[in-house]
Amino acid sequence: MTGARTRARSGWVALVVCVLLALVLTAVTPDPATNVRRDWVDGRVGQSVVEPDLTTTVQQVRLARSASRSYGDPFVSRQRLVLVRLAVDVRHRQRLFSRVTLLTTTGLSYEPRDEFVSQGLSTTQAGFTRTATMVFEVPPEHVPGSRLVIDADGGAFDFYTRATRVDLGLTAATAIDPGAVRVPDSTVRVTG
Amino acid sequence: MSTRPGPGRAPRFAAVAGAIALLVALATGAHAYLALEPLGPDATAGPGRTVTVAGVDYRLDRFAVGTRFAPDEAGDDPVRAPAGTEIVFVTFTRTVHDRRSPLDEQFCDVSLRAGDDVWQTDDTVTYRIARPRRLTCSATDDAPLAYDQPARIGVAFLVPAGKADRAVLRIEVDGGDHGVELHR
Repeated sequence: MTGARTRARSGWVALVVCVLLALVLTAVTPDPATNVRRDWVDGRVGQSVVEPDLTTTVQQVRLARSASRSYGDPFVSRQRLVLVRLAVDVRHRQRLFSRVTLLTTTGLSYEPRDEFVSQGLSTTQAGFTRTATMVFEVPPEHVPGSRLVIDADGGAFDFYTRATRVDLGLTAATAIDPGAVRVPDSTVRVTG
Repeated sequence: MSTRPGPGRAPRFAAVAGAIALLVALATGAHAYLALEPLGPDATAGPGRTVTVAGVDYRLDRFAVGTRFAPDEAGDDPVRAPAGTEIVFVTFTRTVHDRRSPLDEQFCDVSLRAGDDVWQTDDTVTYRIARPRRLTCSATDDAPLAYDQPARIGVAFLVPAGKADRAVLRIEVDGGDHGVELHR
């Protein structure tokens, strides 16, 4: 009888220990929805940021109030336009570039302006380099410290995936282009 | 007679339980991983040879690599590959025999592969090049499918020059569960 009670008590103790262990692990391990989803590859303007299937080089970053394409009226904003000129070398399989955003220091995420879709990143096949300009409209107070994020295209198994983050080097003192900045169409060529 | 593990057998019991849990986790992970990238095709075929997969015949008709192809519209300029690239143009014939395979559910994912590199079809080139009317495995209003009736399909890819030498066409069906590779 005493043996049975001892076994029952041991069982309860083991159960409580397991529950406590699970609680501690849940509290101390990163949130899989955010931290574990991506293996970030960080870089700066002018630096080649290399993932296994993609190399990204941000060539130039400009701030403006107005930007124009080869057609139509210039796009004018009361906020800031962040123009990111970059080249991407795609390897092994096509990239859709469907999740390219500008991430602020406060965690806000901005998508590129639709008006500049022909100038921005789009589907690129393996072995080709696309040169493009992404245009983001951001409130002035959120511009300093913002980063360009080129996230994975996603898929059925979207965890532990590599993704690129580039510090755009923007500060409160970054100069604003006085006129409308001309944004060229994106181009694609064989990776040299 | 107790069926519970005694104090001496508890570590062994825990080890066996842990091993079973690991095996289940391994099988679950392997299944998810293999679903991402199937190990290989069910069948391969060269020009003119027919293979049958999941009740459907596949025959490679033409596997052409070049920089200049005839246009689909008479009078248009020839279709030329941009500098440093080549066009890969493939036509194949697909015939559905299995009556259990609905004709309105004939989907396939076509890609060109060379080693670790994978290309999807280039829509611009595919539409401009002289080709069969059908561009996909699916039935369309102007190109319906019928059992035992061959359906010719044409697809084009734009790849960096020199990459097409050892390229194969991969046709995946049933969400990637089955596949065929057609070689030059």
